[in-house]
Amino acid sequence: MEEKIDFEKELKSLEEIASKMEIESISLDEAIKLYEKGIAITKKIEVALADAKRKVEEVIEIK
Amino acid sequence: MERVVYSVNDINKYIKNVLTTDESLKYIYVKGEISNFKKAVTGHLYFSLKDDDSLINAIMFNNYASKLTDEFKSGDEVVVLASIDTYVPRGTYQLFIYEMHLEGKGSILEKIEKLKKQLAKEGLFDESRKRKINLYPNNIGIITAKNSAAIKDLVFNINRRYPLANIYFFPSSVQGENAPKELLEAFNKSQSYPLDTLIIGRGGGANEDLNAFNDEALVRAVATSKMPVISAVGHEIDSTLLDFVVDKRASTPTAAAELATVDIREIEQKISYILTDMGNKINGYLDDISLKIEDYYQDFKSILLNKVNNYELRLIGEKKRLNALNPLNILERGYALIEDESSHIVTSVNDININQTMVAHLKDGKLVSVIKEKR
Repeated sequence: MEEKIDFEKELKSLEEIASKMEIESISLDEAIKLYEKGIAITKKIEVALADAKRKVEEVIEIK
Repeated sequence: MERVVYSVNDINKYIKNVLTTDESLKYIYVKGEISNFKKAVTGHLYFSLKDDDSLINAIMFNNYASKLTDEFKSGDEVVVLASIDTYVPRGTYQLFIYEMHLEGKGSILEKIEKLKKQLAKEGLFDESRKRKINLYPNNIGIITAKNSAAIKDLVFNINRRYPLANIYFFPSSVQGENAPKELLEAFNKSQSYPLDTLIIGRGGGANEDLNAFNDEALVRAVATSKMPVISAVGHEIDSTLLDFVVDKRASTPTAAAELATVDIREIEQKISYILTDMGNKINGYLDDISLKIEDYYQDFKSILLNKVNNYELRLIGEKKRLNALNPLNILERGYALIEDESSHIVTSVNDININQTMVAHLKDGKLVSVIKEKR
């Protein structure tokens, strides 16, 4: 089952999370929440990437 | 009364006697134009002598002919020394020739030469007047003798080469007194038909048999033909005036058919070559396209893999960054994170005061305590 994700969008979200976490005044709880969110997005992207890779292999092998 | 009945032989013998004993028919000079000249293997010469009004057969045996210093042929104007002789079995008479000399050109030929010059002067023979023949004719007209080898040849060859052509036949005598008139009538008739090409001709014949095609009225008329004309007056060397005034001349009816049409077999061959060429070209294009598609496949492959790899790299980058920021990392090492009552992070002793509550986050939980003293 593949989920169509917008790689650009997701990667941007990751960047934003990281930026937010770098702000010193952020609370620990917030930081942890952001971190967990970031990990989730990372996983999402990893799965989609694996799918994309597999699809590319399929397509280019068709002759 | 008893009537006298003679046999044919009696009559012929009598005539022979009359003619051969008449001194005024012996050793006389006669002038005329040679026609139908034949030289036998034996060396005997057989021909006719003629003028504008009449003709007489002539013979010159080898014993006299071998003494001749000139070569003779039909059309030659000659003077002969001869006697009248008869051939009883056939009831014919002829000139028995002892001597023969050339006397300038035959008058008939002279007339033709004169006419030829005149017509040339009028421009009727000009190359610029000659039209191209449509080799894919819808309708071909033929003027020649009925039941002749010429018409059979023409029809056979035209049908063989280009069966699409319709043939219109305008029969006419091609020799003899009436020929010029009939040829002219046939020609005039042909002009009202939608012909692409007109063929006028006859099979091969001795020189004077072609004379109808020297007729002035006929030649002048043909020069005005609505459609291109091919002359097919089969002859050895000489031309008739018609040959000069037509758009194309052929030496035989078969040659005329070839001048008048394409040969469909050639067309079929050409088509075959063209189809083969087309096939080869198309195959060539297909091969080119195959190669191009091959290239594109390679390009697409690279592009897709590149994109995926790029995202992967970025992801790895972000993961590293994220990990580095993991607030809990540092706690694993035994460090504590201090927060005040309002959950602000305390990074300096000045951020919090004595008696205030602080929360210390350790890797496995929180410790709440009150500040006793600062140092």
